[in-house]
Amino acid sequence: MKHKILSLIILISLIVSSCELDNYDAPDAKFFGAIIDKETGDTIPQDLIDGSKIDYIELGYKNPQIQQLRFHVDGTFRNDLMFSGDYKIIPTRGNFFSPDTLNVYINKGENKIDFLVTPYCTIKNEDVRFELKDYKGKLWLLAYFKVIQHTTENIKELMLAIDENPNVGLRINTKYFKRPFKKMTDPDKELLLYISLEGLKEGTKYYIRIGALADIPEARYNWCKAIRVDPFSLPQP
Amino acid sequence: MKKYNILFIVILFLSGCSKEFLDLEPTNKISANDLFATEDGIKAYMANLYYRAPVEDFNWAANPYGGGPFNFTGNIAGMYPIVWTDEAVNSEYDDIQLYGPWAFMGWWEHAYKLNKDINMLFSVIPDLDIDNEKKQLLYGEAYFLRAYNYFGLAKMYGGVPIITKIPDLNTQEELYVPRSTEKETWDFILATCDSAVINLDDGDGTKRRANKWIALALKSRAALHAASLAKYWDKAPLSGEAVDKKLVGGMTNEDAQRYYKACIDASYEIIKTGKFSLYGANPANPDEAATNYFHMFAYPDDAAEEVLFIRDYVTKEYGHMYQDWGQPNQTKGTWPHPGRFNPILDFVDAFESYSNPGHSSPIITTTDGNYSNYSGYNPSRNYLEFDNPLDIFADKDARLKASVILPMATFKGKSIIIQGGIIKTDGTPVIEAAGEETIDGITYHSFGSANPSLVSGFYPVIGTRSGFLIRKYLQEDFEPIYPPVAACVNDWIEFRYGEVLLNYMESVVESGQGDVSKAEEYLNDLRHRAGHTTNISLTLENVLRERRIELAFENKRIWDLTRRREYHKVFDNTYRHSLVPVLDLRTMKYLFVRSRVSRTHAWSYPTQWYYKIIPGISSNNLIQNPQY
Repeated sequence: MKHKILSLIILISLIVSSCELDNYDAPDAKFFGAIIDKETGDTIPQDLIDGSKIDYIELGYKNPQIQQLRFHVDGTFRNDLMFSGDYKIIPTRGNFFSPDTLNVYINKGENKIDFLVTPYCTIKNEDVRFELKDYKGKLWLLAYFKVIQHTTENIKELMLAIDENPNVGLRINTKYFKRPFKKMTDPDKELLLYISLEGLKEGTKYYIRIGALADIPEARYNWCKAIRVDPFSLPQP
Repeated sequence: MKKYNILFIVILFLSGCSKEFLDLEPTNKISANDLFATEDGIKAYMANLYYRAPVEDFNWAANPYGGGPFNFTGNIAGMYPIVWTDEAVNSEYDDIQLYGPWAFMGWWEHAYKLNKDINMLFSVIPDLDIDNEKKQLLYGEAYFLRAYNYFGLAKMYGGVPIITKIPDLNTQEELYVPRSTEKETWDFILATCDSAVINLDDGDGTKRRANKWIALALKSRAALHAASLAKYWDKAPLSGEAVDKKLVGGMTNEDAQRYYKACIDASYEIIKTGKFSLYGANPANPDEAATNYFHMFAYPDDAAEEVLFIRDYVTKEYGHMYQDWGQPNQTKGTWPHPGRFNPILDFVDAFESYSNPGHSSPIITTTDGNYSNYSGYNPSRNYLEFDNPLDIFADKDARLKASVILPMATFKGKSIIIQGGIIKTDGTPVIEAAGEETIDGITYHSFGSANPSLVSGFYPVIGTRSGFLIRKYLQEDFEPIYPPVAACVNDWIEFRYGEVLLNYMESVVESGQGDVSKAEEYLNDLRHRAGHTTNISLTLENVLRERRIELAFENKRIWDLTRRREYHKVFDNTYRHSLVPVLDLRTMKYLFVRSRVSRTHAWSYPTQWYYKIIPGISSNNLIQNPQY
């Protein structure tokens, strides 16, 4: 019996001692920051689904693959599971002019990087105002706003999206209205989008965002920040 | 002494080997020489190549288990490509997004394996012990298969590496072939079709192996695809290294015109031979038109005048599951999972009616005629009521009832009950929910019966949730059995004369080249076959509507939306819609409610999906498609 126990102990200790816990290091770096309008210093609002991306490539391999990171709706981003090392990083395919590729070393621990860029266009929340209108037996929400354009290309489309979720946008909405625009616009010119309130619940607060899409390949919408209103209690001039 | 022993053994080993020691012929495999020595061997090799060619038939489906999307007979709940378009919706799942960049549709590795075996065929043909005529035909078939394979690649990935010989493994250049531009790839495909046409003849009459006309039909299809890309690529522009190097996109309007011309010429060569015509070209009435049109797809061999190329299913061991998945619940036999293909209202709306030729004729359900209201039943609206639910479709193009099982239509001698609700005698609606009311001892259930096996609609998963079921390809004399799986053996029409006509007219109307009057004649020939008697004019809208209707469920819509860059327009926060037949117990008549298909969500097509992800970038050194 003693022998058996002894041999069992030897066997177990052999098995245990021959293993290492893990031969790969865990991610040791955190990478975060925001995409910022270099003129105003504000973050640039994004879409949650189909929004702008950060492409990054971890160097030190042959043919490294492009990895991708997405922005939050408010224009910030965060990846807490990165490996420290040399990277090429570029925010791309978004609603801004892509900056030059950054060659950076991501250190162990926290790494904050803000990208200062020029958005394709800007819709300031202070320029947005809403009205309610009774027309042909239906209630309509009218949104007046201004688009400050930084591109030489046309504005392709304007869009108003409405939802109970503050991440409201291109893909997250209960109702939306898209209007083809296809021309340049003047920053002082007030533009109008309207949407019927049919199907929306009275007495509920909704989030609304207004966006403009630049006519550039793979461009994403430029949005204002989400505005919370009860559309049925808007002023009716 | 020991030293000598070892030396002796070493010498023994060395001298004991002759040079052929490692060159043993395997005994369990047939060598290339033996295989190609007999005509039967060549036939077997060709059968294998045809089997692996990317034919988008009944067994073309997203394959999550690996092995590529073709010849796939696994269980993915009938999530076939038709339910990813605006043709139909699956009764069980709505996960179009699941297939995202179509990793499950990946065809890369298998395409290049097939390409290698086609190249191998090219390399052995000169030494075969057969006469030159047969060699020439083999060359023709090899060119056809190569073009077919590269067409399959180009429409998924854009410009791809073009490899036309077996690479020398010792040279880097031959191992790492870079991607050609998208334009070079399409030019290569069309030139390969030409080589096939030159070498092939009229064929052996079986329509199961390539002949001259099939190669021309392939060229017609591929050229139209290339032309549309050249013309419409900018509707969904992409960016990045692959775009800068023209590996995707980068084609001009001149290219578009050149490709449209190629399509017109190839199509017309088929048309002008007079060897082909439309099946049942002159029906006496719409009913006869529907019967003919349905019959062609159920029994392709009966339509020899129209069919160019058939994908043959022979044995139940190598069959497909299309009829099983598509079968109405009432006729499912022992198959447990019927009713998965549900044509949507948006597709049904697109059909013309005989009284209003030249226009899509949406199903009108209310007296106000408003067909854009999908918000469900509203008692304040006046609904049109019908004694027989089929009456609401009475005036529609015959191809509707030939392609779709309509509510209460007859199939396999049974009335297929598709009912989605009742209006109770007190006016309470019970729609897309279980409920019943008893009047004079008779119980009326919202879905037509409290026993789900007696009906085919609106019971979740087993019944249609769009109000329609597929009919095209379902044979009246086929009895679904389970097991085995994939026991359907009806054949697939891969190329038919009708498509050639449609390719021709689209190219004419898009490019202004070719003969407008002929194109218009062909358009009306197709409509005439469907029972129309009034001619319409050749406009892009008319041609595209005709194409959508005529080629419904033939797995063409997915590529029409792709090549014309309409996918992201059609699916832009888009819900798909249903038509719910409701029995009004107050009048004992049927009314219809236009709704969103239940248990589905709004869907959008991201533009990067126009090109699929290329696998293995880190080892094959290729430039990836945009946004992957």
